[in-house]
Amino acid sequence: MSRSFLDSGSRRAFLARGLGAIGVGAAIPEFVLRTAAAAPEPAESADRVLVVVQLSGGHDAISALVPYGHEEYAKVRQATRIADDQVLKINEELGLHPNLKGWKELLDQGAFAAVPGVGYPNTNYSHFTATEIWFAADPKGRDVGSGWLGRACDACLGEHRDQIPMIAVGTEKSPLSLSGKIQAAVCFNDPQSFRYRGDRNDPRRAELYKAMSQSVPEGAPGSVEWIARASAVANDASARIRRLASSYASKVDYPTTGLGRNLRVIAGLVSGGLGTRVYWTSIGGFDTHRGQRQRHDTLMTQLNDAIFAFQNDLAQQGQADRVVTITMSEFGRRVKENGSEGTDHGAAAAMFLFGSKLKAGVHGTHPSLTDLQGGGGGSLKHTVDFRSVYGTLLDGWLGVSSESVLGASFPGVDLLA
Amino acid sequence: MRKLLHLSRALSAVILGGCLALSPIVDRSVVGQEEGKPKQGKTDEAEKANDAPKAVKPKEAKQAKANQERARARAANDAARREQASRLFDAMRESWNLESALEKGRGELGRNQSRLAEASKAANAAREAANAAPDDKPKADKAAAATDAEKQATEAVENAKRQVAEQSGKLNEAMDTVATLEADLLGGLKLIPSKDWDYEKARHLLARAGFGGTPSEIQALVDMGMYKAVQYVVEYHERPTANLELDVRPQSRGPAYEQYLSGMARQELQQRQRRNFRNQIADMRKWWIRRMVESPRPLEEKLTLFWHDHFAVNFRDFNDPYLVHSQNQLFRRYADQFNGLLHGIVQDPAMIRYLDNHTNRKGNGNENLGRELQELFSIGEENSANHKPNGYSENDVREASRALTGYTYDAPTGQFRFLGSRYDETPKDVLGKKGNWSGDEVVDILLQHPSTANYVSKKLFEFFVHRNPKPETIDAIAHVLRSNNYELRPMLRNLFMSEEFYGAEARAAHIKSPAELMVGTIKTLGIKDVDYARIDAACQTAGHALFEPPNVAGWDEGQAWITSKQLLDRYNFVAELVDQRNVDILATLTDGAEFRSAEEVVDHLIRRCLVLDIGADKRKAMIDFLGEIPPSSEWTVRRDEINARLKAIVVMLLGSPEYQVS
Repeated sequence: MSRSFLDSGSRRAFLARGLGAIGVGAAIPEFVLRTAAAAPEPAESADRVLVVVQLSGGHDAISALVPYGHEEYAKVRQATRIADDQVLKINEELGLHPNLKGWKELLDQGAFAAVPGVGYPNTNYSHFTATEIWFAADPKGRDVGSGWLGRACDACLGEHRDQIPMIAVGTEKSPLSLSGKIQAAVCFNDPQSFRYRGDRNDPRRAELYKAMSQSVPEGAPGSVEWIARASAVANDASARIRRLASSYASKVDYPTTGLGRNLRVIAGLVSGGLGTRVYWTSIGGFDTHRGQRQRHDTLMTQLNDAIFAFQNDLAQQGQADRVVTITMSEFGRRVKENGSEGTDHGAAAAMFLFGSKLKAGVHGTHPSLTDLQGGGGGSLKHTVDFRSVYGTLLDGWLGVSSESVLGASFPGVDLLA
Repeated sequence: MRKLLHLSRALSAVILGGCLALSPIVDRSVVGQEEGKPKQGKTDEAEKANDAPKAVKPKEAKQAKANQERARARAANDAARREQASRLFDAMRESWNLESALEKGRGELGRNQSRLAEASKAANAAREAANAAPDDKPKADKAAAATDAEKQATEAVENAKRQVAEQSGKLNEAMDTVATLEADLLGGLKLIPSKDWDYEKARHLLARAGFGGTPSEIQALVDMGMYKAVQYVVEYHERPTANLELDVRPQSRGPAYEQYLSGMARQELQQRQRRNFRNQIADMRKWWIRRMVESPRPLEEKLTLFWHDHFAVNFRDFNDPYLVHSQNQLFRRYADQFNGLLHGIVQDPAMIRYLDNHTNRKGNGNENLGRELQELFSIGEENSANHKPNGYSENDVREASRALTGYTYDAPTGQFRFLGSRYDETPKDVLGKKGNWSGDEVVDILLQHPSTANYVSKKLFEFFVHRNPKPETIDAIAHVLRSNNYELRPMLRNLFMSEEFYGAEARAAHIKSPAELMVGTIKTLGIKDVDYARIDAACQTAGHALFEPPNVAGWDEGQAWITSKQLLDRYNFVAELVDQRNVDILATLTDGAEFRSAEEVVDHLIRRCLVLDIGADKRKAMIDFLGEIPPSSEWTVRRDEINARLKAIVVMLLGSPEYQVS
């Protein structure tokens, strides 16, 4: 007696024939049985998409959303300082890095928002632990064993495993944020390479491959059964994603950076109606302990160009109202520069959001550059908990109870129009 | 006698290390636990309590009493250990005697066997002579006597055989006793009985402590018996290392005339250098993977892989192949000595460069190395002050970083260098110990911290056994590790014979890393003429690019290897490996085996490649797919056709969830 994890095509046929006719036995895995129940009523929010761009390494957001109006800014920053006349001013206090012209344009169109001073109590200064805290949305980090978006998809979809709820583009590996207790993400670098080739296009081999990869005998250890499920999801997702990605025609020119390429893929999948709710991609290099200015300037250009192209593309495809894009980073950096013309690990930092359904502008004021918090001595204090931003997006955008995902209720931020 | 060599060596380690060195080390850990409190004051108070009992406050008296009790407990503990050690020695002496007796018995058997051969020869001759002359009474009598003598000699041989069997049974029991007592004395895990040693267990050992092997390699371990097999795997220094050297040289500076070149020419020069670096890194990857396949010391390479993950450094941050190569050799040299490794790593140019310690100087600190040294390399974040009262704090990170000022390296030679001018010579307070510590003294303080052995042991257990260990299991192996001054071999010997290692929870619980998957496939199928560039590409694509771990915390193991994309990668790359034109599955399969039907081929492959039963449905699907196949004696005449069919069926078998685990 074996447990077979059917691909979605045959599963649908199998469900259409009715479970009773075949005889419901132990051969049918529980989740398939549960899938047979009617899918939940699609709410309006079920159509909405969240895109997360991770700025990996700890972003010196002070150099992106520049507090040029704070008189201490010129004192604490020398090598990394953005001169007043270069800042793209938003108000008397804050402005954008000169390379973020596209973002400024989006702001003027009403499709850009910034939340300064986002963090959490007892900041962790390790990349890995801090990233895990942001991913898990919990101070326990990876010990929680799941991520906030994974849990959000668990809440939306429950045991429905025939969907592709989350996609990470530009990585070989699912980030913790997309790991649910039930739901998992599909991830790939290039959508066309995402396929099985061992069958050499021979139908007999393809058939046996499916039988071998998607089923395990009754009583197999949990690890093996889990891999069989993963095989079924992968085989199905591979077919659907390759079809959509290869047929996507965009009128917008994306930059030829990794981030540009990844966002283009996401635009194609969103426009193609894949039904995926959460997309994730990342850009690295923000751990600027040394020689920050030049490296950070380049990163700003890359971020600006890729996200600007993405937003324009979504607008042209008529998808702009469906998508909110956000950036996050594991922490900000110290207010004071270190001895290597760089900055060490800090605490609070700004988050950036993009989308036509946002209340545009800066939400709140920048934390003080002098009233700092300890730890490493000299990091920004947070004024907004990152889980407040998450919660707002969960409740107001994805339509999932933030309390069930975050385990507590956090005051919302008035971000959504 | 040689069989017992490792036991006697272990015993001297136990007696010398256990009773003398062990106690101070254990004491030190006790001291370490108290370190957070004002210990000096406490001792003074205790002394005061002894001098003037009347003046003592009740609280102090209580403390003095507690100290006395602790001393008494320690003395009792020492006595118990001495008692255990002498019992172990007695058991060992008994096993030595039994081994000599067995050798004598074997000699006796041999002599009896030659006597029997002579008697048989004489009897045959006499019988022949008697048969030739049927009426010759003396000849008939002689034949009868010779036949009697032959019968007696046969009985003597049978007796000697029985005795040898009995003696070797006794010896095995005695060795079990010795091993059990040794494990008890070391405080290690309970062992499985040596009589349970079989093919499945030997395969498990070779898969986990190495990268697997062919059936004949596994059978060799079975034939050795458990003790010798584990010794063979763990005491790898007794064999030569892989004869595969790679010459990687320090990064040279650009030529002196570089500054006079035009921008374009200089750029071209630099591009060329970068390409050279990339090629060297590619060579190093191929070299290391090939070592995993070919080294006669698989555990050495497995441990090197473990340390590369533990002390994860990504070469892309600095692009200097020489530093990466030197670090890899450091891991190999000290693969079984954590003490040497932790000292080595703070002086390791690649690590210094990766964690920015070359910029860590007095007054302008950089905490990167000081932090990871505690958070990831020794005590562990899970044992930091955030979680444990005696854990390291942000202050300890800062203080350790100050001790590491001046630890840098010389770029042109790629060697460690200490720059006194950068060293912060003011006193530091690391984990409650005050002094003008150097970076290496901080390493000693970290090695004394009670959490360090546990943290490292837990990671080793998760790597070799399974990811859900009980705390008391970790305590036991951590104790063995600490009491052997962080030498790994006694601990690994204990682990590789333990109930936990062969238990149900460990079976098929390990999801192979991509390197284990690819190297294991080569070794299990005995594939020759491997294109290591392709294997390297496979590992990279499936998320296991050697020298490029995702971050300083290393790779996430276990289920994290299996994303939809990487799962397809794994299926694809093993398929590609087997499908290569030059792979001769037929030769591999028929090496010492015969097949009469498709069923036999499929069953052999299942047993060879999987640690689990694949189930009747999948077995039948494979047999149907393979179809009618002639007996293996006839394969050579249809070699290409049969080889292609065998390859196809192997590809299908390896594209299964069952093949992803060991």
